[in-house]
Amino acid sequence: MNKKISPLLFSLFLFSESIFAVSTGEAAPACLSNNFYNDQALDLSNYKGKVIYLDFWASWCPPCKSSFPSLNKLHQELHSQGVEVIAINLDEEKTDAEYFLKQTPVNFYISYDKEGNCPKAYDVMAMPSSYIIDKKGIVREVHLGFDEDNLKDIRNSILTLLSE
Amino acid sequence: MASYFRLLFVISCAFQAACTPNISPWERGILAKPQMSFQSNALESSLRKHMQHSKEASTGGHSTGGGGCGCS
Repeated sequence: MNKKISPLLFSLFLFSESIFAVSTGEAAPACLSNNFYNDQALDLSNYKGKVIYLDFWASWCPPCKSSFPSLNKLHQELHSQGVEVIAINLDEEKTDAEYFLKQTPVNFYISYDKEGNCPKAYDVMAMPSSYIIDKKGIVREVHLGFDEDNLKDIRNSILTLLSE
Repeated sequence: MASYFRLLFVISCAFQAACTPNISPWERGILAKPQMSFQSNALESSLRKHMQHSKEASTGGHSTGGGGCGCS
C-alpha cells in the first residue's frame, strides 16, 4: 500500500507550491514600489514611529474603488495623529488608475508597482488587501477585501496602535 | 510497476505549467475587462435570465458579476 502511495505523494510534493503569506506578528517586508506621481521610491522604513495602513488596490477592482472615500476620510481624520495611509496600485495600465484618481481624488500616499514586487513580498491573497503596521514595523492586522462595516474596527485598532 | 509510471505521468501532466496557470489576485486586470465576460451583451443576458427564472421558477447557476479579483 505504502509503495503504491509514495510515488503519488512524491509527485504531489514535487509540484506543490510554497505559500509565504505575511501574517500578523511578522515584520512588514521591504519591497520596491514608486510614488504614483513622481516615481520616487517608497521606503516603508521611513515611516517607523507611525501607524501605517497599507492597502493593495487596482482600478479594475470594485471593492478597492469603493474603499477609497472611506480611506480618505480615515486619512484626513488620523494623519495628524501619526497615521499614514499608503495605497499601492497594481494596475497593468497606469492610465486606468490615473483616470480613476482623477474622478476620485484622494490625499493619501499612492504608490505604483507594475511589476507586482510588493504583492509578491506580502503574498496578497485577495484584492483589496490591507495590512495595519504598527510603529515598530510589525504587521498587526491583515484584512482581505473591504467591507464598510469593518471600518469602525479598523479605526479602533489603529487608535489602539497609536496609543502603544 | 508500469501502471505506477502511467499514474505518475498522468499526475505530472496535470501539474504542468500550462495546466495550472498561477494567476495571482493582482494580475486579473485584463480578465476583469467586460470583453472577457462570457456574455457579450450584459443587458440581453440579464433579460434572458429573467425570463428563464420566471418560466422555470428557478434562479442561480449562472456566472456571477464582479471584478474577478477574488474579493467577493
